[in-house]
Amino acid sequence: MNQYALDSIKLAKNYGNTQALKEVTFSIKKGEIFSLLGRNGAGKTTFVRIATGQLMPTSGKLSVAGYDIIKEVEKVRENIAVVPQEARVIRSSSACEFIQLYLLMRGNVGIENTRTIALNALKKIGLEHKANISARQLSGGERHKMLLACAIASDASVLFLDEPSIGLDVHSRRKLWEILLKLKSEGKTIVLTTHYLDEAEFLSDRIAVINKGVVCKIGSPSAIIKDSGFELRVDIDESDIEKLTIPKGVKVNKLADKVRVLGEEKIVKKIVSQALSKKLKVSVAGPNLEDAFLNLVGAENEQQN
Amino acid sequence: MNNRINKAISIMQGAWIDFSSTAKGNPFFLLIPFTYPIALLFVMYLNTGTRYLGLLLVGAILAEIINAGTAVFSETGSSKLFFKTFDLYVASPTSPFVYCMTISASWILMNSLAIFLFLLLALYFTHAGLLAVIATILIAIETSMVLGFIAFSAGTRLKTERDVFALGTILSFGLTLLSPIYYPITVLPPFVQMLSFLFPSTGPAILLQWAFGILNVNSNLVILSIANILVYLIIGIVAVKTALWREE
Ligand SMILES: Nc1ncnc2c1ncn2[C@@H]1O[C@H](COP(=O)(O)OP(=O)(O)O)[C@@H](O)[C@H]1O
Ligand SMILES: [Mg+2]
Repeated sequence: MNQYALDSIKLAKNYGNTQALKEVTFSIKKGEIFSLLGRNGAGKTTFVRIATGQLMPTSGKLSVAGYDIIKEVEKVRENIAVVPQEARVIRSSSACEFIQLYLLMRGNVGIENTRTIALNALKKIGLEHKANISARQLSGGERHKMLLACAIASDASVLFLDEPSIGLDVHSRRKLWEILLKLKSEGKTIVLTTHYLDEAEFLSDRIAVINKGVVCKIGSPSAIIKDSGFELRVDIDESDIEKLTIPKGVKVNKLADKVRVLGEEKIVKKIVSQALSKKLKVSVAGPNLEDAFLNLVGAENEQQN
Repeated sequence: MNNRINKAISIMQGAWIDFSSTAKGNPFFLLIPFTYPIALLFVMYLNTGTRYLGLLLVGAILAEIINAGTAVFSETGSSKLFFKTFDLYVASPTSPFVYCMTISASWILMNSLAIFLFLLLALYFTHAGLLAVIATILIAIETSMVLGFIAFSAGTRLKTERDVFALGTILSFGLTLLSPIYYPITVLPPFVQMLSFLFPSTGPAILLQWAFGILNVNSNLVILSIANILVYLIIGIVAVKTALWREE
């Protein structure tokens, strides 16, 4: 029996001259919550679309739920559900009817039967009070929850969620995390893409960091933080930074009007005591996934879509 | 076998959910199918009395079936390019066939009130009987399936959402006006008659007009009509099988 829910070997995708994925190799174990992290345009959606049978790869091999994505895509599709990055409702159906149609198209039988399953899924996601109003009247976040309820209502063993927490408020995001952990405890494998690093750090068993179509790091959140070599960080006001001598061997990143210095504990502590002796304001903390991530994919804060 | 029956039931139930939720949300949608044929019938009645109403009503039945088919084109295209619900279905056990049949059936339901009313009126004005009813049912199933298949397959190939609605309307216009559904094919010059067999709705139109006793057909026309239907049946099946369900 194959222990992998997903196994990607040198997977590549070109759109014309754009190389969206370059020889991506990694595997996801059954029952894991696995996050694909990367900036906009890194290739996360492209990977999810290939893994869910929506898009042909250019080269490489990929199996999902033990089946080859090219030769046995029907088998793959029987075992998966996807929450697309964006999807809007065409008709005026209610949230419940939307899920019912999804289930009937998946091959479930019975109007009443699918209604029960749909209502259950909406309840799990905390949307049962909106089950019967037109899905068009749902807010963006609620609509996203409805799509998630589709995936929950299916009996798929591998769930792909492309940026599931986009548009969710803080409470809904926490609720989503709870639901994903519950699904994991039921034995489902969850593959999600996100650029919320706190989310990835909190939820994931393992993470793959994708940068410009290349997997540049893979491991548990704590291992990725550890591998960054950062032990401590200190934030200092930008205007104060020239009053200090910053030793070699640390990483200095600009963060709005602050400067963040990361490095070995010993060195960072020296900077801290220097700053304190000059009565400068500092805040000290352990490094988090975001620090490690920025170190991996570059810290420029230019905006992209 | 059991599997097939279950699939058929799922398709019917899916179509029913899709149709009934739309009808509940937008009851006026149910009136849209009546508008164009009734305008046509009204103008014709004012000019020529009841003489051509039978012909027009039979044409209107087919027009509703054609519109249901071409709607599958717009729906597939917009679902893929704009609403993105298409992705939800591609990444699931839903087959292209099930998707396309569910949408087709839902659109037929949407137009069924009009089809039913036009059928009753057509029977009244043409004095046709059971044969016409059976022919209508068979042709409705065959034509809506074939057009649905082709429209779906074409819809999956659309590149920009800009084209979705314009092309859908033009498609309907071409099929309902350039192929002889509102008039007998025999009014066309022989060369144009041959050309009109390039449309998938021409065979069904001729057989339906014949079943209602409106058109006297010779054996040549019958053979051409049946050939037209069979060829498009094959094209339809090939179209679903080659639809761009998974993108390249
Ligand atoms: N259909 C497409 N045609 C051409 N280029 C595309 C297409 N889809 C995505 N791309 C490009 O591929 C790259 C990866 O995109 P995507 O996978 O959507 O990234 P992410 O989901 O990580 O933001 C981007 O440079 C994007 O512009
Ligand atoms: Mg994306």
